[in-house]
Amino acid sequence: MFKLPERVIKEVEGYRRLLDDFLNQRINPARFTGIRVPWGIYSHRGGKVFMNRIRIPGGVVKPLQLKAIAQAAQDFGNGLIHLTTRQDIQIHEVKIEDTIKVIDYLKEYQLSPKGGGGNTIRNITSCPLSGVCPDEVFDVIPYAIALSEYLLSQETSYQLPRKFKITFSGCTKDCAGVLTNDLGFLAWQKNSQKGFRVFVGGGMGAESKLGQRLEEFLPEEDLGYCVEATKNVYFWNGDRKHKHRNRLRFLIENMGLDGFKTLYQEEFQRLKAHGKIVLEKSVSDRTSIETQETFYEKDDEKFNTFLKYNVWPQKQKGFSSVELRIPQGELSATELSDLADLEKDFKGIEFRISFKQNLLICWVCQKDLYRLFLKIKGILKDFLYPNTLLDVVACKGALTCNLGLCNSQGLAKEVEHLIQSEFVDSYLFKNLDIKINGCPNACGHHPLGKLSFYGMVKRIDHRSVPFYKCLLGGKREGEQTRFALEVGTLPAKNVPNFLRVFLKNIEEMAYKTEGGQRIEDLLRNRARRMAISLLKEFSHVPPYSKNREFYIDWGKTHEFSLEGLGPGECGAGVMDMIESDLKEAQTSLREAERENYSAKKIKQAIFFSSRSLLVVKGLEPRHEEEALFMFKKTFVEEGIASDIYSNIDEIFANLSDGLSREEKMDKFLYAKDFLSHIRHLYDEMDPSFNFPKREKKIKGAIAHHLDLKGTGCPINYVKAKLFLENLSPGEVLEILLDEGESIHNVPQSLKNDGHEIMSIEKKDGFYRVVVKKFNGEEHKT
Amino acid sequence: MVLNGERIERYSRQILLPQVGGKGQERLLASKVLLIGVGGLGSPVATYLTGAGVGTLGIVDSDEVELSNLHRQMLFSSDDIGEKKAVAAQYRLQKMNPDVKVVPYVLRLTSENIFEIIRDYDVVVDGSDNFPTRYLANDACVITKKTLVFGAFFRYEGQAMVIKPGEGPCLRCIFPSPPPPGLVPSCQEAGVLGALAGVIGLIQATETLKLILGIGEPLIGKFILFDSLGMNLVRLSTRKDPNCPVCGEHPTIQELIDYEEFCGLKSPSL
Repeated sequence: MFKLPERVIKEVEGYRRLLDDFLNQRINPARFTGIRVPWGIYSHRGGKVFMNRIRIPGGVVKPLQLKAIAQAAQDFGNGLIHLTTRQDIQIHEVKIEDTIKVIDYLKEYQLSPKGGGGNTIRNITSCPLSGVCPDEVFDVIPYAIALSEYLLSQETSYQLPRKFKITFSGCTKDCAGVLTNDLGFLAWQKNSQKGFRVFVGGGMGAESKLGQRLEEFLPEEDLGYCVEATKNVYFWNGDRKHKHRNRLRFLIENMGLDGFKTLYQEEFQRLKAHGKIVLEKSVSDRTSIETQETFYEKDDEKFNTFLKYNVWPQKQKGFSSVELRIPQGELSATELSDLADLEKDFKGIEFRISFKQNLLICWVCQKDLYRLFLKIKGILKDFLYPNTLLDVVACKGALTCNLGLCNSQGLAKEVEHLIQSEFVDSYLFKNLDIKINGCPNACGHHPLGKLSFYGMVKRIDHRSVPFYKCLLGGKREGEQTRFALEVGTLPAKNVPNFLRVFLKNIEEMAYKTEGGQRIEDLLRNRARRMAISLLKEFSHVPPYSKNREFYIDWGKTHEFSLEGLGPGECGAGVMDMIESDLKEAQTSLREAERENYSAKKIKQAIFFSSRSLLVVKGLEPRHEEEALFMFKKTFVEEGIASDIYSNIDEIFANLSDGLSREEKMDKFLYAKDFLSHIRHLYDEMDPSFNFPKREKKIKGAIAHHLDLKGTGCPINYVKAKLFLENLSPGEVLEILLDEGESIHNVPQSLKNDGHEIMSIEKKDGFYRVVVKKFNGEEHKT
Repeated sequence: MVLNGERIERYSRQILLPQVGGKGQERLLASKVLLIGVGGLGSPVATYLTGAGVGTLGIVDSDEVELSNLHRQMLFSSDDIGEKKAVAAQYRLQKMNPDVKVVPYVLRLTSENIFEIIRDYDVVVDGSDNFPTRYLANDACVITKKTLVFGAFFRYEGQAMVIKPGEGPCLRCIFPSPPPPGLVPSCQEAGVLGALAGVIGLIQATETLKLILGIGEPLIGKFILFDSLGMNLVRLSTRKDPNCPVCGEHPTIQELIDYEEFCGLKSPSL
């Protein structure tokens, strides 16, 4: 069983302190966003309440843990639970001050939202039936759990360029989607040795890409090296600055798979040479392995449906797993708690979360199935038909998500209604699935849907109209995985009508070609052509005056609007924290200028500038003096920032409104220079948060160069003068000058200004002049 | 504002000055000057400050350009007749130097609006030609401790001074109150040598630049009298008057007075 690493538990105190700072307005909301998102805490639309995403490694969760989550949702949230397509469990509408209570409460149950969001190692997933599935090569869950414990203990796991998703599949049926994760491990056996086929760089969302083969066969004992090497290459080389192209797949695209592999292999070898990475697999605490196999049909039609659709025999004789369809992954806390309580009557059962947002109950004795069925019937009203056309996957959409365009959940309900009344037990019912996403991001896994839709908006009649893009023919199946192909667009209002006709048509096609083409091939060819022409009939939107219905999204009563739509928080992290500080510094400067060079505002600007980059050094100052102290220690004294700022703390301390207007203007310009210096350092920072060191200023050594060849008089002198202004006394500059007027005038002028001309030497038709900036006070003539 | 390639060239002859340099130029580009009146004095002030690259130049003037202005107000041409001066000036100055943000205020300064307008500026330059505005500007600058660059002319003579509240005398230390209405003729009656206005305006522009750059010795407590016919320039040392009604030890003026009624000048032209 997964144990929360010590590091995560320790870091709770840090979060508590920063939350307190935020609540007392000592840190601003933008900065706090960068702190809470890596803790899996996202704002709902409107920003008043929050979602907490609790990671469930491998999707395996104990009854006691489920009860704890239900309790937390009841006490601190809105009493509702959402199961995600990444096997997480979300609780919603938590007040920000209560997020710490959720963290505190759940950590006692080895649960945490840490790493549930942001640029972190996200929940490590695995086949939900792993360990019990008759088809699997071997049980992959222990690897997912061991890897979670290992990675969550490393600081770098929370400071990646972007999110990083890892998954494990137990066989080539590939329930976990090894080609659609940053790293996918497919269980593989070679000469009776356990191991994995490894895929890298997959992902869905903006520019979905399929993973490519990284390792033909990776022996299981090398798993840690493989993950760490991939992570390190990404950590050092990934792009942290360009938000929309910083997933691992873009790095691989940029350097090519071979280029990436070379770096990966070097790092792999380096890690192997430098010590051992041992992943400690937890041992199963289960003792009962086999029992009597039972025939269990009853004279109860619903139960027989349950047996047909919801029950999977386990590889352990006499046991079954039961899959409960949870529409859109939505449950009430009471329902969840009651389900967890089943354990009292059915000892030894275990819960799993599936990629279809369903809940699985494993280790049910077959003789108990009817009794269990009756109990479940008392808890849930709608749980039959998982993995059918009725089992529509849908993200949270515009209901709570900042990025959601359409109300995907509203459409899902409508579609389920249609299927329920017209398509249950049809030929397609068990062979097709539907996925709905509120926006082009892929939380609802639309690129993998056999039939899927994602939300978009069109402007018609000067109004926004909710639209969907329709896709066909995706499948998730190991190396045969294919993304769905786009078919066309249609207004949200028409999706159910379109579906009714489309499904009838394709049902007919499938009948005629039965035994011939597989349904997924059909979807990519004939059915696709049919859909394209069919969509034409359904793409028309009547003018607003004729039919308002088209301007209202499913599940809504008001006209469609994008109100509340905001920037995604998912990538919030270090870069956002830096940018938030730089922005604050800029604002403070602007206000200082407006308010007669207010000393307070100038101080604020200096403070924000000095704090901005500390975060990459893992420093979080508690007050202004500490920020300046840390800046001096880690940036000035380490030779990263210019040593002009070695007295920045004194300047800061002496800044007060008692100064004259001229002095304050001086300090204002100082603060402005300081901010541009920090911006410069930020620009120079490499993707791994390293800064180029300034050359050590050994007295007399040339540290700066200025090429003024081709620049005439007096602009050459003006440029030299400007350059020297920004150096400290005693620093040495090398200037290249043309022959003629330039060499006659410029050195003399610099000398007149008090600088020392150390040498002039002729070199291939131009002159190399070495100047030392004057020592002491600027002379005034 | 960044000193990039083109700016380095534009201001190069100024950056070359030992006490200006890049830092001084940056100070200029960050500075904000308010000019009251863009007439005989205001034209050269605005022209040279714009050339020098002050960051923001506010121009207060409610009048329109008239044909009789053109012999001394070099910012305008015959095409501008009938245009609001502040707007015509903005158009012209913006073309001269796009780095400068020119803010026109087409209005008359009154006790009601002056604080609001001068609040955002570092230095105020008085280019007005009437006593109500001149005293209003003096009082407002003393009360808010803003530096005011004073200038005036009459026929062949002109005057200039820098009023830095707290450090030197103000206008009222020397002339406690405006002359009674009718005693001093306005421009329209008195006449003026155009070039003289230029000389005084340029003294004001020079003082303004010195103040922003923090260089040289500003005309604080030094009252300049310039006589163009004899070409004499006299610099009188003046002191703060402890009994000054606005900046003295026991000021009697603590809020602003509109002198309009008192002077009998309903619509002074600049």
